[in-house]
Amino acid sequence: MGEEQIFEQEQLVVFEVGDESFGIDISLVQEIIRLQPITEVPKAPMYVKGVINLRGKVIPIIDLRERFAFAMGEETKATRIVVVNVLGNTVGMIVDAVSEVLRLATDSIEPPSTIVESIGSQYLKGIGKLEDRLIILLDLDKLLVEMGATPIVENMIELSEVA
Amino acid sequence: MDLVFDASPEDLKVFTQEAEELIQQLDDAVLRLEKEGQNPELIQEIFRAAHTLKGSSGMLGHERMAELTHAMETLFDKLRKDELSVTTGLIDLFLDCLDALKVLKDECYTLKSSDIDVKTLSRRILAFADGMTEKAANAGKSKQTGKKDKSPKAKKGKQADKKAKSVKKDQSLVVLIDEEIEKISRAEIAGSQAFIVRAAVSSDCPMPAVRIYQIVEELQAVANIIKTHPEMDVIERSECGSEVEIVLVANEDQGSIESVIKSISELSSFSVEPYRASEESSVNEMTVEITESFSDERVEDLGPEARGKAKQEINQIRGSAVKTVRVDVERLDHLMNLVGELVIGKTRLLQIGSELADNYHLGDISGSLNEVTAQVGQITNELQEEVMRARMLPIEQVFNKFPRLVRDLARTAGKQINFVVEGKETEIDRSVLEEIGDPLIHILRNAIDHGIEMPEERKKAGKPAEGNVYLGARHEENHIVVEITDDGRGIDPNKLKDKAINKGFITPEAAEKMSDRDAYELMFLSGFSTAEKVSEISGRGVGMDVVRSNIKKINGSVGIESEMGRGTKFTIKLPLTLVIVDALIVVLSGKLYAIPLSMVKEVLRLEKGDIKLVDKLETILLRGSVLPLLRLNKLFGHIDSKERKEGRGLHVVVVGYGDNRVGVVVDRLVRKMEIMIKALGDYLGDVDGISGATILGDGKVALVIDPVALIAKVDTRALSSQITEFGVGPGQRMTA
Repeated sequence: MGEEQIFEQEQLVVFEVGDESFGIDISLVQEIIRLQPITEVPKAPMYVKGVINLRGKVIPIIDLRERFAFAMGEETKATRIVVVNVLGNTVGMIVDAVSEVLRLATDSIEPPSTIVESIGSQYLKGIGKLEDRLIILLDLDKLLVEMGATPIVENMIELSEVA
Repeated sequence: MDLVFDASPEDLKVFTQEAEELIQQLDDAVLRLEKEGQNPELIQEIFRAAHTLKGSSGMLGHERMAELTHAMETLFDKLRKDELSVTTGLIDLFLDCLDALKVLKDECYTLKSSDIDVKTLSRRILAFADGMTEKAANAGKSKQTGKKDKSPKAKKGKQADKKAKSVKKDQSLVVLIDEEIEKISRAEIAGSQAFIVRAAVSSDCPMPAVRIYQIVEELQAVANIIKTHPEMDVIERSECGSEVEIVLVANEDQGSIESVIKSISELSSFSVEPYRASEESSVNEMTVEITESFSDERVEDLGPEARGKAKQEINQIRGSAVKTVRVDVERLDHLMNLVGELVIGKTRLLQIGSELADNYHLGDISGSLNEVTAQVGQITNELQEEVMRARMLPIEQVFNKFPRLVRDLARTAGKQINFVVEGKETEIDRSVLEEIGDPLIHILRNAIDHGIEMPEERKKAGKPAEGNVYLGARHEENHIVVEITDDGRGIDPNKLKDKAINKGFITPEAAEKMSDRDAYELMFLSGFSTAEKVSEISGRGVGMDVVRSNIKKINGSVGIESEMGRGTKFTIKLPLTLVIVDALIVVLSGKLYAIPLSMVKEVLRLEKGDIKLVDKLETILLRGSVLPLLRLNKLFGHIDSKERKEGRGLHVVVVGYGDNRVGVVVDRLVRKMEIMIKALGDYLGDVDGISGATILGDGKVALVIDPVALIAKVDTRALSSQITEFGVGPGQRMTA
């Protein structure tokens, strides 16, 4: 293995939703804020919690728990909103906790298809392995753009079983 | 073919803006010319605009544009000198040229060569100029005798008095300077004869420049060429058109020169005439100016000098408008956003100030705070007003396109129309302006196509043959009102009803009951078109439903009044701006919502017993008319937790535009405040009944209710209940 490859790594923001660790590219993350009062938007999909005022800008907030159809979680002190910029949209995602920022060597990321062929893994970029942990890398472009697509809960469960 | 311009992208942008304005100016002026006839001032204005356009297009290296404007200028110049009279043919020609110019201007955006045939157009212009001049020249011959002939080529508005000499005919393209005239005189003294040769290469010749070069070559063998137009170096570079003029001196006679040219193939026409320069050889002053004006005149074959000159000239023109600055629209939008933030901050400050004063005994400091807050508030208001004014544009920008449109439509339809525009100067927010063009075009088209009758029909009805169409704009309170009136045949409500029945929109029974006013509303249903034959003019698949939805989109409203045989009037009410509005803050299930105050008609307090059920729709009787009620809690899916206890009464906000009204049931009214409407963003997209969000004084987000969407809901419900009542099957499209 050449030395160069050691430097090919991705920097991720890792957060927890349910029992899973998810990672997203740090360059997409604008900021991480505490939970704040959210204004409900009528008739929006369930996982859209509403909108908040982020320093004069109105941004939508989605709940990743609902999005992945996990069991409803409690709001805790650790609950955060991860504000991301994706394809020109600023969107906040409620997560159970933000755990860390870490670097992951590119070659320790496996594309989802090589792990489970059957998974409709359209929202996943891959699975990152870090020592004994597995981090699910989300494809935010797809996750946030394809609103109202099928929940990916089964995939998640299967995935954790496989993992 | 890709185009390359001799300019930076910024220059190009400035040029296109300028060109756009000039073309618009020409458009207006030409139409006025048609109306007013030979008005010297107007002609001068046209000439100046055309000349500026020519100068700047030449400077930019937009050769085709320069060529066309150059040819147009020739016509304008003749007009100015009374050698041409204003005729419909001439106006048509001008308008065709302007259309071509618009396309050519757009080339600066696309950087692609369009399929505009400048050569043919220029030839048409020159042919027109020639044809007309012969007559005019004959008529005015005696008048001009003894006077020095002024060349149309060497002249520009401000240099009209300069002495440039042309060859014999007014439309000669060759302009000689004194040295050249001297050369001719000397040759004549030596026994030679001067001729002017004109030749045009036929249009199907693949390489006209080569033929022209050949002409010059052949002539050189028998004669001494003094000057050519286009100039020799242009011909050598094959950059000339398909016509050439050559002044030469020869020992041969006219016939032998003709025979030389005859030997060249692919010529569509040519002429050889004796050239008399001696008449003017006495003039020997101002050579320099003449040369200068000449090169300036012909900016299309630019040398660096001429380019500098043209630039200087354009700067001079710009200099006069130095008090205005072009600002990028985005920058203005950003400024408006910042002001909006400031307004929010101001509101918040006020709120905190009063909270402090109420809850703590702060004494003087609280008073000072209030003072400062008030002052900041004052400045903020002024700033907001100024920024809003900066975003305002005269409605002219849209209206100016219409005289031309109306003229063209009227001609196509064979109708005579007197089009009156008023209130052009009325200012309106840019965002509103952008949206009203299409609806207005559509209404105008309808007025001309369906409203105004054919001249004979009008005469029969005892009206003047010329139909009147009026377009006006004016301020009215916090709105702009745009009116379009025609004195045509009016709209037949029964026809509308029949159509609606045929299309399955309503039942005959429902039609019976329908008032005329309601019948007009049918026009706004999608898929409804009253034109018996789909004409080229208004049958383009855009219906009145698009008109209404476009106007609704900008919080405007549109109403119709019509009288059979007398005409129709459309009244469009538009908001001054879309960004900062006064709003009424209300509470629904503990959440705050804002309702734009412009849509609020009144606020009522009702008892439960006042509500009547009509077609399963909750309504109340308000001053004799039925007002449908809408429970927002239900509509927005809020759990109506605190169903008001009996007897406590209901708060109803009556919202609406025109005659469309609906009562919105809310839990509580809070207060009136200024809000800045922010979009919910692409991610959420359109939310039914919500037009956006706003940030309140305390930093919380409140959603802004969209009364238009709410009214649409009730409309639909009312109509659909009508339909079920009369047994029309489901599946009918009932979008309002």
